[in-house]
Amino acid sequence: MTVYVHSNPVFGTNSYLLGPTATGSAIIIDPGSFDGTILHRIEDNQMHLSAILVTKPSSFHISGIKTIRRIYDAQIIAPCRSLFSYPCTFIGDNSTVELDGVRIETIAMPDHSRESVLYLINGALFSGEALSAGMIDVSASAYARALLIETIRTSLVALPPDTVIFSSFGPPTTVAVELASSPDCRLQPDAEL
Amino acid sequence: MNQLRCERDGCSRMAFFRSHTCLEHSQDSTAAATAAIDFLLQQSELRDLCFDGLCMSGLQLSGRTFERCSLRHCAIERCELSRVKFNLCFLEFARISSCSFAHSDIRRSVFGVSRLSSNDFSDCELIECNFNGVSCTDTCFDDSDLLSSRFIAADLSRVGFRNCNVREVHFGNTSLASCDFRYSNIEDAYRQIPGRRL
Repeated sequence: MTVYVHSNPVFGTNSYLLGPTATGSAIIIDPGSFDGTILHRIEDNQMHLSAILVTKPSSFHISGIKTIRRIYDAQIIAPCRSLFSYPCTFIGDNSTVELDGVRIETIAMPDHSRESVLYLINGALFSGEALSAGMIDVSASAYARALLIETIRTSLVALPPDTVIFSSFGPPTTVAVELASSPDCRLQPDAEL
Repeated sequence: MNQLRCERDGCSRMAFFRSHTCLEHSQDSTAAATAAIDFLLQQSELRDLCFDGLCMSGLQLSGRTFERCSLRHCAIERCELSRVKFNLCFLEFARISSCSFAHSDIRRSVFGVSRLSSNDFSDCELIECNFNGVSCTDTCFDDSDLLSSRFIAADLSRVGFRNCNVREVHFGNTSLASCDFRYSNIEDAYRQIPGRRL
């Protein structure tokens, strides 16, 4: 399965297209927009978009859903019950969903937002806004931030060091790089992983 | 990306190119490394391959395309990598020295926590690349587009960023010694330490 990165020209966020799965379908994560580039990517590779995953129901991540649903009858999986009046398959902490032979695990980030999850798919972590290369997202308070840092650090330590992290903003990173260099998440200043 | 793992018990690394183990646990690591280097020299397009831990010295790799390749912990020395294309490649914890990447197109690739010394990245497209935690000395990024790349917690010494596009480039917690940002749009970069100026 291949990960295609798509930069959203409106919000400057990243969407990710994963495919093809064992059944030839594709999954899109955080469609902040849906334009001809993604459509061609899906159709040129003879895939069918079967699912939309949302890390957090904010406009950065969901604005492309209405367009997608006009074209594909894709299932929406999100940490909420509905989006734009479309029913969603609710996914919470430590949930596992099997989708076209693809195993999707979730890690909730309640200290970031009540409706925020990270998806672990095929050895890659899709972290949404909560974590990006060298940074974690803003929190409501210093206490919430401390909790979020601890939750993220605990989650990262449990993953293989070469796990790739794809976030909504900025470049990809890996667990090893975050634990060695992130000012928020690093374990030790000179950690060798 | 090749997700095969090393067959050795307790080892979680990815399996090396055309191997069932990582390079360290290969029965004949020299032969495995030689086969990988031969392949690198022969092929112009390399996709979904793992070369973790490979030592490359004096190779002519100009114009190659690397897509979703893993080059973690590699030692890359005196290699000619001008006009290469890297897309979604992983070079973290690598040691890269005296290499030329001039005129290359490098996108969404991870160089995090690598040691970069005396390299030439001039006139490159370095879009959304991750240089967090790098130790970088005597390196030239002049005339490059670094859009949305990150140098967070990096240690940059005698690094040239002349005439670069540094829009949305993050330099938070970065040590900058004798770095040259002349003619670059530094007002569009993020500097997270109050009082520190590029």
